[in-house]
Amino acid sequence: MPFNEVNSMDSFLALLLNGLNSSALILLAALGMVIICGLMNVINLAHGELIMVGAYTAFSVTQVAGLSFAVAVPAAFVVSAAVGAAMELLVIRKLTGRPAETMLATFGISVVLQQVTNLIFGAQSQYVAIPIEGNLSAGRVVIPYYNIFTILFAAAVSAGTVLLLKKTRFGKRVRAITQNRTMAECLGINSARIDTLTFAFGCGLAGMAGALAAPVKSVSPFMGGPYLVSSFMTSVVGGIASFFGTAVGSLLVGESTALLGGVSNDVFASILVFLLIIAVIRFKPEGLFAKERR
Amino acid sequence: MGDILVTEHLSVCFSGFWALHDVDFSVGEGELRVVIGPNGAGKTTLMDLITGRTKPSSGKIWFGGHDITGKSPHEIAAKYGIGRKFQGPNLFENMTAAENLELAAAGRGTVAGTFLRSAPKSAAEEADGVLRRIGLTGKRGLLACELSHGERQWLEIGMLMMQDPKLMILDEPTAGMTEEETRQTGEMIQNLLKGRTILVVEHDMKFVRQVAKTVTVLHMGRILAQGPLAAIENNPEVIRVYLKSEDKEAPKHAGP
Amino acid sequence: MKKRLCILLTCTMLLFGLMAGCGGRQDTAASKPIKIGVLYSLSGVTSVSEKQLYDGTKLAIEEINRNGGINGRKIETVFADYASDPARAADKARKLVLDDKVTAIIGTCSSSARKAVKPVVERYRSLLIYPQSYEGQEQSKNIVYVGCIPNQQAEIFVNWLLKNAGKKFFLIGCDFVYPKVENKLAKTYLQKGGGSVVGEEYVPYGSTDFSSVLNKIKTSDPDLIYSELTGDSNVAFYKQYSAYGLKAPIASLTTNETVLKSIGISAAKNSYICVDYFKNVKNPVNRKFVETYAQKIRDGTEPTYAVMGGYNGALFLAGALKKAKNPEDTQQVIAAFRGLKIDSPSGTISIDGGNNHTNLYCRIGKVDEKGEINVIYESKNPIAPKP
Repeated sequence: MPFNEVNSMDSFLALLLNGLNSSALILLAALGMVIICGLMNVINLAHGELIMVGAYTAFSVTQVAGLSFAVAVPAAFVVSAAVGAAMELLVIRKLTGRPAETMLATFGISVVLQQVTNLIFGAQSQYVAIPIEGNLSAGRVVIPYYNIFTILFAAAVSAGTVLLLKKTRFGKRVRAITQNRTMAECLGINSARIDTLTFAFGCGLAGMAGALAAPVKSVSPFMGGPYLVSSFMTSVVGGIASFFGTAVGSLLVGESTALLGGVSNDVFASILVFLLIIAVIRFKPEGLFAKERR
Repeated sequence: MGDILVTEHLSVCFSGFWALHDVDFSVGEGELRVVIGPNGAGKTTLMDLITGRTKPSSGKIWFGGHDITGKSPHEIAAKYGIGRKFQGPNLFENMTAAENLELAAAGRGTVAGTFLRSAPKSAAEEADGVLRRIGLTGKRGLLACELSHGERQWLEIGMLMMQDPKLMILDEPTAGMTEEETRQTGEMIQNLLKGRTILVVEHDMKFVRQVAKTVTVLHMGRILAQGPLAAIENNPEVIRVYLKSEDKEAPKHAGP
Repeated sequence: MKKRLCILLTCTMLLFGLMAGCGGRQDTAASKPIKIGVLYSLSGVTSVSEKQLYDGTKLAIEEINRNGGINGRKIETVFADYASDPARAADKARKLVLDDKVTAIIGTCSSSARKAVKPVVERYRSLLIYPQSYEGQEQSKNIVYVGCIPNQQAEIFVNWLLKNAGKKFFLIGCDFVYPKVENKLAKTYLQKGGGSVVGEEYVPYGSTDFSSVLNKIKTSDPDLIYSELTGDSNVAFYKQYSAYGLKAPIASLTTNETVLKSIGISAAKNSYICVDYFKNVKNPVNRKFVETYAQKIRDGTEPTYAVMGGYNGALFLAGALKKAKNPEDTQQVIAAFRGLKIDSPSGTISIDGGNNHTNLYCRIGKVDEKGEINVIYESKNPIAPKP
């Protein structure tokens, strides 16, 4: 077994902090999935491609149009949300209650998005400048400023999403439709429009995840796959409809990958993390923090 | 007062089966009408058509002078003010009492809604008012599923008050209730909802006798009989098709 | 008398007809184009590299045809797209050989695609020109390998780095055969040269999260990073490495001019690369080549060693076709590769007849402040391949 020692508290702390950064990106990517899969019960296999759309938006805004990263992030939200709204109106809503067909259709959309991006931008990786350079270092512990920003951003967006759903009029209607669609409609709530907006919102979140990943990962038409996998894993572990669960799930997945990777190696770590997730699904299929579902 | 709800030759066919056939049904404004009939007669289907959940195969539906045939459920609820309560609890279980009340006014936020009724105060303010009237101010932050049985029923009534519909359809409201609860529901309908138009679908004849003035009987997708309660109870056709199986007691005014 | 005249006339006409017929066939034979299969992916995971290979091949063939083709006969290409799917590569190869009856195929990129096509060309006795650098450890009578293999990079690169960058190496690659072969070779030279390995990490293929690896690098304090990372992982690594403020230079065996663009100057500057060709190689053949490339391929890309692989592959094939008596006889063409030498933009290079691989120059480049790769070392002679 390939194991090495983590030499000191410093190294451990460093691993922990870096795992936090991975968790932040995982969380951002998974938030959209919680809304779309957890709240709306739609399995969107194009989730990774919506992240990719956000990344390319960040590329276009910063490198092509020359605007600042601060514009790129909301732009990524808007563009991915628009793509999501189009998907919902044209495809998703016609396949309500048919998960197999929905998966097939969204898979087809994912391929289309990849190829269109390939045609427009080419298959090579695109460059997005890192907006905040430099790092904070104390002894063996180094954390780039951009990582700190990512963590804070992920926390803010998560909190914002939860507030949106709990406190705003829109959020209450979303929850009402989730709990009892018929009754909500009888009370005069336009469930079709709320569906489109909710789906678009989830896709917008995915777009922002892509924008944030772009400066430190690579931006290519086929980048979406791993994000789809990690988003599903995280949501399933945490409990698909629970925000708290997903936050914990992303922390678990991110930290365990980082810590295990630090103690052994990344390949071994990936395998172990997958096995852990399989164990969770096996023994607690509804996730660690599942909300009670009627 | 004229008829607020009118259907004209209303029919709907599901895969060759005519669930409703050529139904001319009308309810007067402010009336309390009860609809009875055997299972499969088409009572729920008629309600589904009126509320827009199902689209008719032919015929028209008029409400308050407007043609609402084929309109979507939320529009019929919000714009035209038709509300509906189903069997079982009509609450959002995982939302607080206050949120349930606010949502009940959701349809009234529309501009059209403002036209049909007086300008609404903010939903939250009104919810507070209703909470006071139903005695749940202290429990406004509790989830609906955490309230006691009685409190849940009051919350449903509160939601009705918030929704303030012009026509309320009650789908078997006393299903599963005890005799006492049934009687209370009857009182509530007669007191709180006075002046509003109410359409009740029911099986419990005791309850029907408690509240009904005019009764419509549906059978195999058509109107079998319609009229004052007494006439219906003595109608031999109705007795043959429906009342014999429903009612153990002999009707009060048994004919010769 | 009339009868004999008739017979004479008829025979003469027949004779002329025969001669004309023979002559005609000879004429069409002389100008009939030679069919060559071109097998690359236009879509899918390897399409980025394959576009470079394809550009190089295209440029070479256009040039050859412009300069008179193969002894007056043009090369006609039959293109097949296998969309990064090795199974499809085998199908398309079969179609090219059996249906289109090409003399040879230039193509494939990944080792899995090449391994899928290998049995096809061996079974039907055809020929594959494989243009991409790879891990070696393979030989075939029916494949000519034009890209560089580990022994043509490792010895020179490791020794140069030991002399100029430091003794403590941190090895990193994706988790598959190519990096492992490179690293194994590197370790033997390190041992001999007095260097040491302070870390060796393999990340899952396609992974872009290097947080734990970067921690290990920080802890082990190497003098340089010896990397065979490819694709998205490679780009992400440079960027994250730079964001962590780590100073030891990255020495890569795979990065090229196109990849550098995605990494960005700030993350890539002062890093080293060792391959067989850079755009900035200084010789008259290359100068002309770079100009032609800029004129013909106007999509903002630059010539890389992958482009050169596709280009050299076509040049070698043309050389062999010219040398062979009958360029449509694949066996003759295969035999003609022995000792074949060409003047390529990457220098005068030749095929090693013993193992069908190519003797290539080894070059080391350093990325400067402007994002250009400056060639700071060039081997005096081409290095013999030892697959």
